[in-house]
Parts: sequence; C-alpha cells; structure tokens
Amino acid sequence: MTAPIIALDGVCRDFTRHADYAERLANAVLRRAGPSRVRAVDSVSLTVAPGEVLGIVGESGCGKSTLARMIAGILKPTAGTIRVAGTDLATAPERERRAASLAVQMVFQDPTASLNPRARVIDLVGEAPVAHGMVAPREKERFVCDLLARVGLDPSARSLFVHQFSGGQRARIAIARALAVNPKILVCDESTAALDVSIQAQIINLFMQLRADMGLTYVFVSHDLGVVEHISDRIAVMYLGRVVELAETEAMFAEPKHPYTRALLEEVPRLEPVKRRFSAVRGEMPSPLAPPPGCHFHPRCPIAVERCSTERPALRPVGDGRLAACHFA
Amino acid sequence: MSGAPALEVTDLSIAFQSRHGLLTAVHGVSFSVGRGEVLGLVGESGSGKSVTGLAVMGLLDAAGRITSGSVRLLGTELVGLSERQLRKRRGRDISMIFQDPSTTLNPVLRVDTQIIEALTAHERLSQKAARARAVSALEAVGIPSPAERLTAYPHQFSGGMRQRLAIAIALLHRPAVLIADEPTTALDVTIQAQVLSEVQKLAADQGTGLVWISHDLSVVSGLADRVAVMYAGRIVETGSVADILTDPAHPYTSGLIASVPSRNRRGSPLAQIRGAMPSLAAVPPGCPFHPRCDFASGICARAMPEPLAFADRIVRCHHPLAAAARAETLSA
Repeated sequence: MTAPIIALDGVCRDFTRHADYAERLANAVLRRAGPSRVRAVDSVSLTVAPGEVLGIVGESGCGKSTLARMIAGILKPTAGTIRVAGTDLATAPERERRAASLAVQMVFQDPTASLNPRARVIDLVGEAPVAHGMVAPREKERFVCDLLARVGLDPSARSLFVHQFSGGQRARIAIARALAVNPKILVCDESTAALDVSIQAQIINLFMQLRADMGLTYVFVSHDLGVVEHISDRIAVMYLGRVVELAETEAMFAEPKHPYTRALLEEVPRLEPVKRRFSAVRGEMPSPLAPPPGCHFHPRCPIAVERCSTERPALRPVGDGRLAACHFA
Repeated sequence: MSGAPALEVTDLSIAFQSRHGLLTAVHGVSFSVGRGEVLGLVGESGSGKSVTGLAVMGLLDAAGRITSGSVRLLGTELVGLSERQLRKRRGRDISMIFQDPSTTLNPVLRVDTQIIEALTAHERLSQKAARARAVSALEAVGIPSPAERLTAYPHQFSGGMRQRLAIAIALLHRPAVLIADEPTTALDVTIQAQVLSEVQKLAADQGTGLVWISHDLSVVSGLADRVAVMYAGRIVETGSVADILTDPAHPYTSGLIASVPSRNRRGSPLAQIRGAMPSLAAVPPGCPFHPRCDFASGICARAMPEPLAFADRIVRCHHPLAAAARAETLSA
C-alpha cells in the first residue's frame, strides 16, 4: 500500500461551554462540577490512501462534521495528530503548514452560507489562487473561465452573483472555489444534501468525473447512505463521537458487523416496488453531554449484555481488513 | 376500498398573485385517496406538491387561490366553503403534518394545553376525559412515559419526538384524511424509520387515507400504495408503486428513478436529468418537461399532452415509455 495522504491518530475534539458569572457562582455554591464538556470526536484513528474516497456516515450529533472540519484544518484537535501528505498540521513550520492546508479544501452543505453574497463569481473563485501567488492577476479571468467550464458552468457566469444561480449551479460554484487552489483532497460535508434528486445526481457525477480527471482524494461526509454507498471506496460509520465500523463499501453493505451499522442499513429507504414495514431501532441517540458508559450504543442495541455497559469495545480487526468496535463482531 | 373515496380532488388549479401577474402554480390536478390507502405525491422543489396539499386543507396564503376544480372530502365539496365551515372540518375530518413540527407547535404552551385545546375544539369533553385521551394519543405514537411528558414544553422534546407529537395531534379525531408534507425529511434515518412505522400503523388501524408529499421516491416507494408524480404544476404520471418503479411511463419519472443512487449501480455515473425545473414565470410551452427530455420531438414543444389512461394508470406524455401505454396511443 502506498503512503496514506491523510493519517489520523487518536484524534479527539472536546467542546467546552464557558460558564457565565452566575453559573460559576452557582457551581461554586452547590459544589457542582465545572462547565459541561462534550467530546464530539473520541480517539479516531484512520488513514486515507491517495485517490481513495472515504465516506463518513452517521446521524446528527455523531461528530462526522467535526471530524471533517479537523481534517480540513478548520478546527484543531484537542488530542491526537492529523497528518496531511506527511505534514503534521499542528507542529509543522508555517510555510509547510500553509502548503499542506492548501492541499485540503472543503465543500460545504449550503453554498449561500459559505460564499460571499456580495462578491462576483470571478472573485469568489479567483481570489484565493491570486492571493497565494498561484495565478498571476492578469491570468485570473482566463483561469476562472477554465475552472467554470470544468465544473459545467458557462464562463459568462463569472460576472454574476451567487443569488442569481439555482441550487445546483451554486453547488458547482462552491466546488470551483475549492478546486481553485489546486488541492489534492476535497472534504465534502453534506455537499449534496440540500439538492433535489435529479440535481444531486448531476453533482455526484461531477465529483466522480473530477476524481477521474484530477486524481483527487475525497472525504465524503453524509447522512445519506445511498449517496455514500454510491461514491465511496471505504466507509467509516460514526456513533456518538466514535468510529464503530470501518470497511470497504461492498463488504460493509453485504455484511455489516456492528449492530448499529446493521440497524442503519436496514432503515435506509430504498427504491422498491413492494410496500414494507418499517421496524425501527428503539430509542434515540443519547445526549453527547452524558454518553452511556461502556459501548455508547448499548442502550439501543438488540444484542447488548452486561459487559457492554461497563467495558468500551476497542475498534479492532474483524477479518478481511475490516474494523469494528463491538464485543460480538 | 368500497364506497366514495375519503378525498377526491378533481381538476384542481391554483394561482398566485405576484409581481409577474397571476401565476398558475398547479394546473388541473386530479387524484383520490380511499380509506386506509396511502398516496405518495412526489416531485422536486417547485413542482407544486406542497401547494396542492395546502389548497386541499384550505390553507393557501392570501396571495394564492383555487381558480378551478373541486375538493371533495367524504363526498362534501370543500371549495367555496367559508372559513368558519372549514374550521369545523380541519382537525376533525382532515388534518395535516408539516416538515418542521416546531412551526406547528406553540412554543410557549405546554403539550397538554395544546392537545386538549385541539380535542375540545371539536368535541365536548370533561378535562379529565380530555387528559386521558391526550395520554393515550401520546402512547399511540410511541412517546415514552406519556403522562409525565404531557406537562413538558415542545422545546423539551427531541426532533423525532416533536414530529410524533404533531402526528398525535393530527390524528386525535381519527380524521378520514391526513396530509403529510415531508414530515420525515429533517429526521435522521433511524428516527425517520420510527416515525414511518408509527404513521403506517396508525393509518392502517384507523382507516385514515394518507397523502404523503415528498421529494424522496425511496421513502414513498416503501410506504405508499399509489404514486402521483408532479412536474411544473401537473401530475405527469399516476399508478401503483410497483408499476411506476418497474415500468415508468413518463421520461421524467424514469429519470427520477435513475437519479437515485442505489446498490446495483455503485460507482457508475448516475443517470441525470439535464437542466433544472423551470420557474413558474417561465414555464416552456407545450410539455413543460420537453427542454430536459431525451425523447422530445416537435409536437412536445407545441402541444401539452393530454392525460392518457391505460391499465389502471395515467400518463401525460406524447411519447410514453411503457409498452402498454404506447399500445394505447397507437390504437387511439
């Protein structure tokens, strides 16, 4: 196997809410514990090979977006290391860190929130490469036109504003912006979630075509298992901050090892010409402020035993290069 | 199902007053739902599916109005009824749930207040009896410890629980028809499955006719008996779920099905429908789908196709894909 382009080792991220004065006073008087802490991502270790598509799935609050943001260098981990193309983002000297962070670009869910509404497309897309000295200022217009054509937009789009485009076109602009600094890795956080089915298909096809053309590596975060299954080589399933299963896409869908993955796959609505009975996993995801002890999934798990509520299962190999965090996998 | 359908919508058209003049959002839509039947109303943003649901409820906002057609609920015409008369029916014979339950629940009232108000609006009940009904309503939608949860406020519930609450209120009077506008779109997969299973059970037990409005063909395919596919304000195809999924007659339906990522096509490019849904102000002449259609010919740009009925299905297309529909066009 070639050297991984992304390597995470024991990555954790905590969020602490800063208590205001009244709260600190109340805590002191009542001898309560200090400010509440949420462990959004809990010791995640994984690698992504160059050219690979890693899908990250999970429900709201599982930490998938936080993990994506750390890989993209927007958030710093509280513990653990993230190496992108061999560079540790936390300790590398400024010059190397900058080069490494340019190599990872992020495509967000909502282009209207991530793109400046008062800037024209030519500046949205062209500003970063000019600022980083990758494109000469007089080359900017031609560069932007080429890039727009590449993502399937007419070059005349360059002089318009974001609000003048449809949802699918905005997604294309967001992708062009990410590609402008010539990244090696695209981190896509729910990038197709807000689009209609027929438009979503166009954008997924674009992602796959760009991967073939430019040899991009993707980290593709989504709650939509159908989309992730379609585009990913490998999938990591997250539950309450932890990766509970990591496997090649086909193997995972053929035979999920973790009971949560199994439940998730069963619940996916699929196109099928027969009416089905929806049978649900009981309960809801517990609050990340007070996660259950042992295996986080045990209160909802159909096969949980005593041991599951006390001992945290390690993410361990379960054959065929697959990993699962379950005592019974 | 025997007897008159629970809900029968015939030739319904809806228009909105706008800066560009009067814009027709829905053109001559017809469908019916029997007791205990589930109809999926599928379409992308701007297809007119939600507006149709609102119009059936008599809840169009001030700019919108029904320009023609009829909505019959249990045989009674609703179009033209006064607001007072409509209020008597809404919540009792027909109710609606929406995508975001936090917009339908009052955030400053306790859950019991809201449920009891909805109950006593249509029935004379003692406080005690109303409370008992409220508890059993919460129980029926699978909310744990219902008696205690009654005294909570909506914000103390999770998203999935809030949607159950909205469903419980909508079903209080065992309405003949429930209109559900994307009620599970904002929910996580496992929670969506929980809500779907509750709704499916309740609708079957109470004989409620369900109109399930959604952009998601996969959800509808597992839930509905029949599907109506909408495009640019018209129903372009109606039929049973099995017929539509295995043998779509309209090129748009076929494109929609092919756009859904699925197991057997993993990694290969998805079929895509080029372009985007036209805006109401600029709907193309003839068949509104023709600029995006691979099968379009000269006639498609000139004439709106008439609905073609065949084998318990209806399609609006000059060049239908299903073989049975083509046979029908030739014989006509």
